[in-house]
Amino acid sequence: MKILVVDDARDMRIVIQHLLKKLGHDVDTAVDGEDGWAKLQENNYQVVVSDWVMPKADGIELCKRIRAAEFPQYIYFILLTGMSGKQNLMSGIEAGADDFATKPAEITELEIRLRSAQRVVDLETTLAQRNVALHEAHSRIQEDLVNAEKTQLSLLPEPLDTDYVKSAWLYKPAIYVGGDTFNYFSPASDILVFFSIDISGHGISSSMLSMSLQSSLAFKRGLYGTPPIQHDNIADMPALFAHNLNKMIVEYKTDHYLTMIFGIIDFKNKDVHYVQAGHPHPMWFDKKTESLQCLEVNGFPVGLWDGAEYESQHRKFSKGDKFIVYSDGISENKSALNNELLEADNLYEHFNEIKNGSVDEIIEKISSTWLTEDQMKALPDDLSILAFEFK
Amino acid sequence: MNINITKKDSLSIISLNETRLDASIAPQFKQEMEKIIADGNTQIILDISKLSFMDSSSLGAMVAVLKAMGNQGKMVVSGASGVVLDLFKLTRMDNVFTLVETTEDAQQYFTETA
Repeated sequence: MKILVVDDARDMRIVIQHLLKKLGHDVDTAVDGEDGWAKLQENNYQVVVSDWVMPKADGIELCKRIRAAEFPQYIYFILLTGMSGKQNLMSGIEAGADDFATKPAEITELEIRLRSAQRVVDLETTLAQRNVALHEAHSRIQEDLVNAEKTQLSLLPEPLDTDYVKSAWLYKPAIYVGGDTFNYFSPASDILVFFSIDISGHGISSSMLSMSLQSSLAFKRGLYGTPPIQHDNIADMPALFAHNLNKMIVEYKTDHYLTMIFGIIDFKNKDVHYVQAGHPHPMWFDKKTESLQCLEVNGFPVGLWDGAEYESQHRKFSKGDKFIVYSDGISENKSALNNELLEADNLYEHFNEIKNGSVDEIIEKISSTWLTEDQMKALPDDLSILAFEFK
Repeated sequence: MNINITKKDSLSIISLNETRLDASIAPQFKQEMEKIIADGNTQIILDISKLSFMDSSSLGAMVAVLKAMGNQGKMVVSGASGVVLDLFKLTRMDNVFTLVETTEDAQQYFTETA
């Protein structure tokens, strides 16, 4: 080992240096604490054997400085002591000394102390190497997750602003990537298919299924039945879709299942057809009466139960009506406005307060007034809210 | 995870002494329940009256337990209330599970169907 011997007595330095060299170590010397401290800055010593009482900085002071500094390697500190009394040893331990050796130095004792030192130094080295490896792995995973989050966000659709409808959304995963997703697409100019999905659990495993569904559901024509999506066959399509998707997910044999609102908006006939599959109750703003209604329809989640049956729900809309679907992630948070959980009646009241705003304003209010910035940074579950306003 | 079993004749009353059942303990809950079933407990009352929160992964675990039970026996869930009961209703799982209010009601259920 590379050892620094610090002692103000020249004869002691020479004796210890000689003994340690005899034991096969690489030894430098310093004349006091200050000199030792200076030498420590230039060399990677693994062990310091230091006298206690010295001019300038003493052994205790040197030890304290070493412990307060951040050397890349652990430095094992042995204090030489001619003093007796437990109080003194205690102050040595408190300063950060690892061991003590008595003066005058004796070869067998030094050998025993250095064996202990070797064990600790080896252990510290292994730990340090493992820490570096762990740190590297952690950074790599972190970086991967940040990229995955970007990919996931990039696959979400742009907000809509067409002749028929305007949409806005909020999406924030709990840990980088989330199990929530949503999408919409138009199989014909006056038809819009949409879904809001929450895969059970969250994190990487949920998000893999969620991304796979997000990108594939639009194209798996079989899930919608055989004929193309048209005005005359869309009313029952949500239930059929849920039924077929349920079969598909049950066959996947994953531990995950999902809740969703899947719907089709018929702009020509002014109908919304949707299926509720265990997803939180959507909110409906009726422009004529200026009232907000919670659509209390219950349904089986998808992929949880092979015998599940589904029902399509139908609703006429008029200009100015709004339809808001969201995942249950919101309900695990306490509102910044009244410190109550955003669930049940409290959640309704929160929506009710902002129902008159545009969909953009609604989404903006949710992220800026319901939840604090700190809450948004560490959500307990994925959060997704999708709002439509009919024109 | 704190689960207590008490036996009463052929019934096994399993009390879940937790206030939250979420992703952090759902797998353990599922494993312990599956073991209890594999050990030959076929008439089970699962008392979840202490639960004040349950998330989607736990509902998945509950269904897995129900599936593990299959046709070998019967499980009655007692004491679901508040948001826990809401979750059962929202997902229509109140139709799949036999839900009762108290463990006494559950015992009554087994007496009547015996």
